[in-house]
Amino acid sequence: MQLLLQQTLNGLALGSAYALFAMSFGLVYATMGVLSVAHGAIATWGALAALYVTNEFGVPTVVSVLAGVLFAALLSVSVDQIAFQPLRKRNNSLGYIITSIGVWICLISVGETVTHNAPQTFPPDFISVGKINISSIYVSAPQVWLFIMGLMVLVALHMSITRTKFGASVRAVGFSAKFSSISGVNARLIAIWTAAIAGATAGLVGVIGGSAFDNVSMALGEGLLLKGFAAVVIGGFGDVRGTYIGGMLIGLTEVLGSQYISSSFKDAISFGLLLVFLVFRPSGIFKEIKFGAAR
Amino acid sequence: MSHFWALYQTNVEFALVGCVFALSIFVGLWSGVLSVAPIAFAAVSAFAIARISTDHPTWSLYVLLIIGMVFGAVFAYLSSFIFLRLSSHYLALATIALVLISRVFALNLTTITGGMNGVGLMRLISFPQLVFILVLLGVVFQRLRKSRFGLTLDALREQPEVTASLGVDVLKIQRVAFVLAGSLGGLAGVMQAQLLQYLTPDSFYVDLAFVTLASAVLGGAYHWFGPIVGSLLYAALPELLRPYLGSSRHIANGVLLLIIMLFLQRGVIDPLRPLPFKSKKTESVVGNE
Amino acid sequence: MKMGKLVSILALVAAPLLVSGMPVAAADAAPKPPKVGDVCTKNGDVDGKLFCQLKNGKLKWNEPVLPAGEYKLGFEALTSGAAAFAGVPLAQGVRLAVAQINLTGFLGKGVTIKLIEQDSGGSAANGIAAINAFKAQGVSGVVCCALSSQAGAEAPILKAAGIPGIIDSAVLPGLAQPPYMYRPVILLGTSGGPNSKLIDTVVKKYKTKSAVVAVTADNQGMVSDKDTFVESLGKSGVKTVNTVNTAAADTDLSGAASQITALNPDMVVNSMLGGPGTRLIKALRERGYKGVIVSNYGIGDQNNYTIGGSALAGTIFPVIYFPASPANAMAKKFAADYKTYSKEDSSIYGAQGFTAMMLLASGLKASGDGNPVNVALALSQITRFNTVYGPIAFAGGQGFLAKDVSPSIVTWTATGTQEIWKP
Repeated sequence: MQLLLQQTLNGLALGSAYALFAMSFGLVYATMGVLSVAHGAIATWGALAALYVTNEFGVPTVVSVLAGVLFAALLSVSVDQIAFQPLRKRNNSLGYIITSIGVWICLISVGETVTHNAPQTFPPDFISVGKINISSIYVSAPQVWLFIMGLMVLVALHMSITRTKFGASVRAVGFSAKFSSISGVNARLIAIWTAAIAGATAGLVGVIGGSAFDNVSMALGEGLLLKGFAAVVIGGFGDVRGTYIGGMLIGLTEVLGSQYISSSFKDAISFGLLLVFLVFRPSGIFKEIKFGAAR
Repeated sequence: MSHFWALYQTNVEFALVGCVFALSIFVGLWSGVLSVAPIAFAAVSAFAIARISTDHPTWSLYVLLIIGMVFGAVFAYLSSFIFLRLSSHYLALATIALVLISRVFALNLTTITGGMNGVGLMRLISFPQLVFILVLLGVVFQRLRKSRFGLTLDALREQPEVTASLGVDVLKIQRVAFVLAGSLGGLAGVMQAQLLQYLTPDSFYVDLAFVTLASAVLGGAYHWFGPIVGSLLYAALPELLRPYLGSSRHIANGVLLLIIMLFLQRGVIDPLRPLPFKSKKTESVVGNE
Repeated sequence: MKMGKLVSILALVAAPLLVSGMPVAAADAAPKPPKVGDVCTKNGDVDGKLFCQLKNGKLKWNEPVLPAGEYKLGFEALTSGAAAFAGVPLAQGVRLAVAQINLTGFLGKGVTIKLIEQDSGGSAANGIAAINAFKAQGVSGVVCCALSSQAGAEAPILKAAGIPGIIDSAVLPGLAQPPYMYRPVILLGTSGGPNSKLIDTVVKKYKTKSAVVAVTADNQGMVSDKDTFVESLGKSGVKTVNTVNTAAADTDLSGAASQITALNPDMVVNSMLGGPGTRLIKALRERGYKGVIVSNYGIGDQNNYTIGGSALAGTIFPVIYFPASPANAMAKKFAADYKTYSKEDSSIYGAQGFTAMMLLASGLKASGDGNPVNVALALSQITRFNTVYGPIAFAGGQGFLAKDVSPSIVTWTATGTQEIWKP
C-alpha cells in the first residue's frame, strides 16, 4: 500500500511536468493554430539560461528560475515574431509547421554546440525547500514544486482565458485574426502575449523539470514535446483543464504501469493510450468547441 | 569529376530516396491532407522486405520493390478508415502519433524487426536503378497532373466545399490519394533499407518525418517537381557547408527553411510564379490563395 | 463506416502477429580466418610472401618491410551528435597514435600515415558515405564504427570493398567478423569476464543475499551485460529479486528508484548507460537506499560526477584502463602523452581510439605492401597484441584480456576522483 502511494505521488509529479508542457503547447496550438515542434527546445533553453545564471552569478534559486522563465518567454516571442507572424497575414497554416521545424533545427544545433552535447545538471539542492520525507514516503522538492506549479498554472490559465477580457481577446484572435481586428482587438499584441505566456510556462517546466530529473539537455525538451503532444491529443486542446488531465493521465499510467504491469512497455502504454483516444475519441476528453471557421 | 563522384555518391543516393519520401508526403498535401503516415508505412515495408529478401535471396529487386509498395498500399488502405474521418488538425496529429507508435512496435516485435538489435539485408539496387525509378515517378506524376484525377485533386486542395458540391466523392478521392501516398512510402522504405543495409527502430522516426515534410514544402507543395528539388536542396546544403561549418552545419537547413517559407512561401517550385525571361503567362491551375 | 473501422483496427493489430510466424533466416557463414599453417605452401611461397618462410624445414614468421612512402588510413569519426562526448576522446586517441607512429617511424624507414578523418555524426547514412569516400581515396584500412548501428551498416560496404575495418567502440556482440572486421574493444560483459569477476569479489566481501538489476532495456549492449550480471549473481548464490527495465530516453527515474528502494535489496547492479545510470544512483541515495551499488564501466566517465555528485561515492565498477594507477608501462606513457597532446585527461575512450589505430597500423606493417586485402590477411593472423590494457588475445577477430590480466576494481569518491576499491 505504501508503494502504491509512493508511485502515485511519483506519477502525479511526472504528470504535472507533462501537463505543464502540454498546457503551454496547447495554448499556442488552440489559440493560434500553430503546431510548434520547436516548443520543446524552448523549454530546454529556459533550463539552460537558468543554469547559466546559477553557475555564473551564484544567485538564489528564485532568481535563477525567474531568469530561465523570462528567457524562455523572450525566446518564444522572438520565435513567434520571426517565424510565425509573417505567415499570419497570409493565412497559410501549413507554413507554421515548416517554419517551426526550421526554428527547431536552429535551436537544437546551437544548443548542442553550446553544451558540447554533454548533459548538464543543476547544482545539488538547487531546489531544496519542500522536500517530503515521511516514514518511507519520499517526494523530492522539485517534484513537489512541479505539482504545485501545475495546479497554479492550470487555475491561472483557465481563469484568464474564460473570465478576463484578455482571455476573450485571445480566443477571438484564435478564431479569426481578421474579424477580431475589426472588433478592435490588436491581434499582433495578443499573439505576442500568448507566445510570452506559453514560453514562460515552457521555461518553468524546463527549469523545475530539469532539476527534478537531474537532466538538462536537448533530450529533455524532446521527451517533454512528445509526451506533451500526446497529452494534448488525449486531453483535448481546446480547454486547458482537459490538457491538464491528459498530462496527469499519461504520467500516472507511465509510473504505475511500470510498477505493476511491465517496465519495458512504458512508451507502448503511453502511445497506446494515445492511439486509443485518436481512434475512439479524437477530440479528447473535453471536446473542443469548433465554430467551423475556415482556416 | 570522378573524384567528386566517389566522395559524394552516397549522399546523392540517399538524397534520391529522400525525393521519393517527399513525393509520398506531397501526394497527401495535393489532396489537402497533411499526413506523415507514409513514414510509418515505409517502416513496415522496410522491415518486411529485410526479412523477405534474407529468406529469398534470389528474388529480383523489382519484385521486392513491388512487394514493398503493396505493403504500403495495404496498410494505408486499412488505416485510412481511422485517419480520414478526422478533421485536418486532428489528422496531422494522428499521423504523427502513428509514427511514434510504429517505433514502439519496431522495438517490441523482435522476431520481425530484431528489436533493438535491428536487422540487416543485402543491397541489390544500383545507382542507375535509383535514377530510373525517380524518372519513372516523374513521368507518372506528370501524367497524373494533367489527368482528371490530378485536376480533381487540385480542386479539392483549393476549395473542398465547392468540389464536394460539384458531386465529387471527397472521401473516396482522399482515400485513393492516401493509398497512393502509402505505396510511395512503402517504395521509399524499401529503397532506404537497400541503401542502409541495416535497419534499427530509429531508422524511420519523427525526425525523418519532419525533415521529409519540410523538404516537400520547401521545394514547393504545388507541383510534383517541388519535393524533388526540396529534398535535393535539403540534402546538399549541409554537405556544401561542411568545410566551413563542420559539425554545426545542420543549422543551415533550419535557416534555409525559415528563409524559403518567409519569402517564397509556396516553395521554390511554384507553378503560379512566372519564370524569369518568359512572358507572364501562368498555367491554368485551379484556385488562388 | 463502423464495420470498416473495426476491421481495419483488427487487421492492423493482427497483421504483425501473423507475420511474426515467418521463419527466421539462417545467418551468413563467416569465412574462416587463415592460420599460419594454412597459408604457407610447401615451397614457402605465399601470396606476396607476407607471413611466413620455410627455413630449415620450419615455418618462420617473417617480419615484412613496408616500402617507403605515405599510406592512407580512413577514420570514420563521431565528433558531432549525441555521442560526441565519447567520440571526441576516441578521435584524440586515434590522432595521437598517428602522430606517434609518424614521429617514431614505427612502420619503418620513410613510412608515414596520412589520416583521412571524416565525421559521421552517428548517422548510418553519413557513416556509409564516409566509408565510400575512403574507398575512393584508396585507403589501406579504416577505423570506424563507434556505434553498433553504424557497424551494422558499414560492415557490408567494407567487406564488398575488401578493406579491413577496426571497430573502435561499439559493444554489440558478434560484430567482429574476420577477415574484414576486427574489434579490440574489450567486452567486459562476456560470461566469466571482468563483470562476472566483479560480482564474485563484491558478493564475497559483503555476503550479499539479494540483488536488483537495473537495465537500459532498449540497448543491446546493456542487456547482454545484464544477462552476464544475473548469471554471475546466480552462480554466487545471490537471489535476483527483480530486474527493472528503463529506456535510454527516460527523463524521470523516480518511479524506478522507488520500486527498487521498496524492495530494499542488499545490492543494486546498474547495467544502464552512463547518464541514466548516474541519475538512478542519485535518486536511490536520495531515497535513503543504503546498500551496495555495483555498476558497469559506463559509470566511470568523468562527466557523470557533474551529474551525480557525491551520490556516486562508493559505487564499485571494473575498469581496464585507469590513468590514476596505470597497469603497465605502456598505459603510463599513453596517459602522459595524451595529456600533453590533447591538454585533457585520458579516459577509456581515448585508450580505445589509440588501441584501434595501433592495431590497424600493425596490420598495415605486416601486410608488406599496404594493399587492403593483405592488411586484412595480416590482421587475421594477429593472436596476441600489446595494449594499454595489457596484452590482449584475439579470437575470431575479437579481443579478450589475456588470462593473466585482471581489470582494476575501482570506486568513485565523494570528491569526484576514482580510487582502487579496498575491500
